[in-house]
Amino acid sequence: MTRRSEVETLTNEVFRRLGSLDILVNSAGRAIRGTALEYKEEDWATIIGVNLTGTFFCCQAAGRHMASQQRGKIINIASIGGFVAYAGSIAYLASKGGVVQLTRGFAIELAPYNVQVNAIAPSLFDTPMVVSTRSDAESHKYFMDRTPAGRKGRPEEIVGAAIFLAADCSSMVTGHTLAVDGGYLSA
Amino acid sequence: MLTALHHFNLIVSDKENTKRFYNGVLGLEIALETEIDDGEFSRGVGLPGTKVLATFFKLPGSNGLIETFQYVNPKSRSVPPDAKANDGGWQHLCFSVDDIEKTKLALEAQGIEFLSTPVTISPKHPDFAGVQFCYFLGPDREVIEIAGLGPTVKSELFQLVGRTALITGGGSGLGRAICIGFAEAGARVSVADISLENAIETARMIEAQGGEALRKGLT
Repeated sequence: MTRRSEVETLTNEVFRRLGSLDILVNSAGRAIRGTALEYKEEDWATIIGVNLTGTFFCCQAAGRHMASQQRGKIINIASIGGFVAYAGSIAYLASKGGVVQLTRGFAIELAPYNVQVNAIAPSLFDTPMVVSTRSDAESHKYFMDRTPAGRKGRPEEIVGAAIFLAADCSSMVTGHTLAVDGGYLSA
Repeated sequence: MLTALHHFNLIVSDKENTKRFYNGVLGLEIALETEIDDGEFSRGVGLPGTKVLATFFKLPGSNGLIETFQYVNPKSRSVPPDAKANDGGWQHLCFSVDDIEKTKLALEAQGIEFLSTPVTISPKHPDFAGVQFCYFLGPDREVIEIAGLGPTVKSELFQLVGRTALITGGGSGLGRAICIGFAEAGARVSVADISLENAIETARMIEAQGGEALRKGLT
């Protein structure tokens, strides 16, 4: 994911085997916790590499196919952490803020090719990544106290937003980050 | 007092025909098949010398049953050939369906006779507005209804039929949910993940639902 040549090989292969590449969802992501002042250089490189650079390479490689098709949809999985901060996640916050802006940047450059680029900003969802990094009681309470819906999302609750952004119904929506957050960013 | 719907009963002329229709055509699961031939049953139904071939079918989305009886003794009066949908007595059974047009076509392809084509209930009846319904006949000319919400928006705008999708991180969590949701919406999905094993598992889940998926490991 973090090597451009490998991402290009992947998108080329998908394009060849499926005959087109209409939709890209960048949901590969990682989180490594650590306080900002002690955050390790290698962890920073890993998180920025997977979450931001990997997303960039995928958008670029898939975007080329989509531009040539004059049709495409890119959906980047950002985070509420792309808009607000919380402790212990400095690289993650930076990477997801980057994804929000990367989304806008690709959106305006690909709009003339009928390619829409949007993002989804989930709050805490019940996924292996969240379980491995945010399942301690203190962290759980911190997020639940700030989530008006008062609960984590279930993975299937991301699907409606993703289908909306992948289907023809969102043909005039681009550069947007859609919060799927139980009200977190509105509170 | 009353706690639940347990079953309702349908008198049929030939239990094999009944099974072919309710199980074979409509896809209802058979809960129980039995022969009832005893005095206590006769006393319960208030008919002398009963012998009944009973088949129970599960109602989808419910704990209730359809209980079908073929009376060997005493002989049943059959549904009159001029029976109509407004005849007295309990008249029809209605099933919810997700896509009424598709369901009707699928049933017609199996030779089922429809009494009407789907009608959409107008906003004059706000409690049911937008619901589509139509009637068809079972093997003993019993009336059955199917009803479903009609498309209120152009639903194809919300579908991904014929589209190809690449999902990175599709082997777990949100990525896996999106892979499965996209496949259900009609897309051909390519699952990429740092764990090839997880990507393969997502692809298997899609294929188990009749979808199409490629899988790729990443580094």
